[in-house]
Amino acid sequence: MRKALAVATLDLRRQWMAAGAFGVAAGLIPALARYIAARVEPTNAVSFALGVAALIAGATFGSDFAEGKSSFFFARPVSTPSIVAGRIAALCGLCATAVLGFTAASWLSGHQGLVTSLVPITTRHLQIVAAVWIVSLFFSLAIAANTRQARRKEFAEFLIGGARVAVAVAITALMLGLFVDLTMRAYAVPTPVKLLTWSYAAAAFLASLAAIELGRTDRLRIGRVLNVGMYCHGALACAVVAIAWAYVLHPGAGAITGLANAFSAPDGRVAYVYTHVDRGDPTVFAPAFSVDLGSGEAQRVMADGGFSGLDTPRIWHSRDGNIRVWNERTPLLFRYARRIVTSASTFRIRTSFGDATPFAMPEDADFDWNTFEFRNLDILPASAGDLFAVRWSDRATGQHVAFVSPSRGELSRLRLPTAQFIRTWAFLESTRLRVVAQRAGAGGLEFIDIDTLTGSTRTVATTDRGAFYRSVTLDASAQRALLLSIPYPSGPSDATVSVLQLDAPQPKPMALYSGKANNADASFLADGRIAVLVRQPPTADLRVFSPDGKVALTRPLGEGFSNLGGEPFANVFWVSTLVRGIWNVALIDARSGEMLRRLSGFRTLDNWDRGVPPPPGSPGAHLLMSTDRKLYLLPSVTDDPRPLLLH
Amino acid sequence: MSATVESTMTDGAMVRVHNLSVQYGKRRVLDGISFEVARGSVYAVLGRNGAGKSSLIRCLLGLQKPSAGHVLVQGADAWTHRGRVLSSVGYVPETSDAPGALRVRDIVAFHESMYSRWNRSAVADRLKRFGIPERAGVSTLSKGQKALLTLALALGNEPALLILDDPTLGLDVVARNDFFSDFVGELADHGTTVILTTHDLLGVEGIADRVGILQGGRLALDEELARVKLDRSQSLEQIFMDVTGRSGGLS
Repeated sequence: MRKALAVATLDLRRQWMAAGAFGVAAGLIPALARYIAARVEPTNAVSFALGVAALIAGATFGSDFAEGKSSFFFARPVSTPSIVAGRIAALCGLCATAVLGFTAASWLSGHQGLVTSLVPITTRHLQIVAAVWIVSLFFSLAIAANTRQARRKEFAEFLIGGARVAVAVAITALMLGLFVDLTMRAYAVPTPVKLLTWSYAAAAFLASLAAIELGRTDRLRIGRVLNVGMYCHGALACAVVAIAWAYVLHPGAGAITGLANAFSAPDGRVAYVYTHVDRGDPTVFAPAFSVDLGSGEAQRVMADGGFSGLDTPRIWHSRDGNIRVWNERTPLLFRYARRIVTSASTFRIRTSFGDATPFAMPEDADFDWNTFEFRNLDILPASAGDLFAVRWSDRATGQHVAFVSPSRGELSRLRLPTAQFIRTWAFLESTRLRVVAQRAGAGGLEFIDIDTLTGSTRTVATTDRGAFYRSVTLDASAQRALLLSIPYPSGPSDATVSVLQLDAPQPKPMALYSGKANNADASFLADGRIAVLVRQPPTADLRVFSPDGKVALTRPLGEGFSNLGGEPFANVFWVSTLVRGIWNVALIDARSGEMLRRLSGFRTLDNWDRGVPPPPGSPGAHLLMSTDRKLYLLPSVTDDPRPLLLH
Repeated sequence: MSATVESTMTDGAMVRVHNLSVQYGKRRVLDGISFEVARGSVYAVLGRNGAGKSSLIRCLLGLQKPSAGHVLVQGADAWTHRGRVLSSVGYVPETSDAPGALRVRDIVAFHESMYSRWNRSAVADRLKRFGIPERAGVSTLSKGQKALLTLALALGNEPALLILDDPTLGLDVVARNDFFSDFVGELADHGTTVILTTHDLLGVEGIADRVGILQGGRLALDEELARVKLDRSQSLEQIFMDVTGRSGGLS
């Protein structure tokens, strides 16, 4: 203790003036900043003063060593722990000196005269002191050890040194790549970053202590111990990060604790679930799984929502459900680096049939470096399986559409007029794509057929300028469009539900409903009829129209009915309700309008993939999600829902 | 001068160096040297520049881990028991290692805290004798004053072993002669063991009981000074020239 205090006293006598001077300078900063109309928070100025004090204190070992003064301590009967303890005590003294200097200067320079408020020292300040002291300690030793070994190196040493550096850089890059991937995909809070940073700080501290004790005045040993310490920590950090990356980002089905969202594929054989798992941060990390609805088995699909959020599935299907494409979530940094180096798209998209086939995006697709995603990317595979329509947008010129084929490359492309964007699209056959484009402003809709081979376009139909449709749905054949017009926000207002026959000689929207409503929903039924739900609180009306637009059925529903679901069974469709915060679903007979059954605590899955619901009778059409976010399958109209995944 | 030292001094050894090697990277500066220093004797380590004298001193002080072998001071390993060993050792480095931004009295106070036994008045007397004011800043002292300051500090704990690394480097001729004849001789007469490295062969000739000459990392000579001079009928300088190969002057 006595010896440690002696070391502390000696260091304080050597360095208090520097720490105090920087404290005074930091105390003047807020006042000086006011003269140039800038604002510097006193707490940041204190951080600066403390940081400089820690820098000075931390560099003592290194500077003594560089000046050949370290034997002054080591040639005396004082143990290394006492020297270190003394230097930490000196650090505290220097920080106190800096704070005193800061306080005095800020009081005297306060624009209201002597302002006697004290800047509170927080945990953040202590962290800054600890971090700066450790960094200063480590690097001062490392620099001193290297500057004192100034001798000519042999060529072989250069080679070995270079190879060692290259290996270290490669391993570090690998580790950082995995770490960035892990933290950006699975964590919203910076906890892992803090953990890694502090683990390096701890390693630097321990390596420095070991170097001081084992090296004493021997520069080679000091340098070697520092190297070994940091290499060991680097290897350990790499192993931990690699294990954490594999463990967190690749959970098995057993790790699922709940569902964030679920979607059924258009063929009704597979469901995709975005899940909560027993790892990662559930506010951002929702790993995707595909669930075989026949066997109930779940498999990890690397198609997590990422920055796009959890509401938009990053899995695209052909309309018949046979072709699936998803963004393969390769480690973020490598994707980023490869894109910079090769200037080519490395954003792998894989088809699900047979062996996963790499699918290169068009090279000039607009990549958003802020979100690490393509801007407004959407993909539509043709049912034939060798043609994909890809669209994306850039900020400058609007939306682009390209037709690419894994076997034939890019076939054609076009750019929509500025400010025009695609609302929905569907392949008519493999040579023709039908898109519904929203024209600029309130310019109405334009139905365009695009030749996939040449990129040439033909306008099939347009709607009146001024009309805005909240929802546009194409039927399975893409020959009819269901247009829903209801202003935002919901309230008693003029609502219109209309259908547009696109293969008619002069296509014009035909109104199915027009009147006051709080909300409305409409969908095509599998047999071509159209269901319309109009909500006028406190009740809702259900209307079913024949394919040619004639009213086939009208039935008032009770309170809270709001959304049409798909058709779980032939001639039966879902209607969801939300009453006093509780979801319910009702099974409605499409022929009579009779309510067959009501299930409380369930809701239907979101109608995904641009309005193509799974076919009636397929397992995907029977899926329900419970209020506690579990997936259920309703085997028949009369059976109880059966849980899937989570039992 | 100290009493005659017996040729076999194992039992009364203050310092025992056994098979000591020191290597910096691929460069071996000490290569398996062994010797002993008897209590109360004066042992002079001689050698040309780069012979390994400073590395040997650093091993004696526990500042340098030997690549092989060991150094025992009063039976304790200098590397592993540095604190215990140094509590009874005084050390005068080749150049002052005291931080410059301090006053003499700060340095004295620091040393006083380091040792359980500290003769404050003796240190004050020596500083007065050397003409070094306690209020002076270390950086304002001349090279010679700094050397004398470190000597005064090294003697403050009345050490059983005094290690001097070329202590007369900054001293003028008069001070150098005084240093060897009066100071070191007196210490040895009082039973203090002294190990010193020096290039001043004349100065050491009158006081050393035993000399070791390092050449190329090996101990080329380790003999009682009186005996080797008698055997060879040569002065120490001639012996040194013979052992080190004559080429170039003394360094």
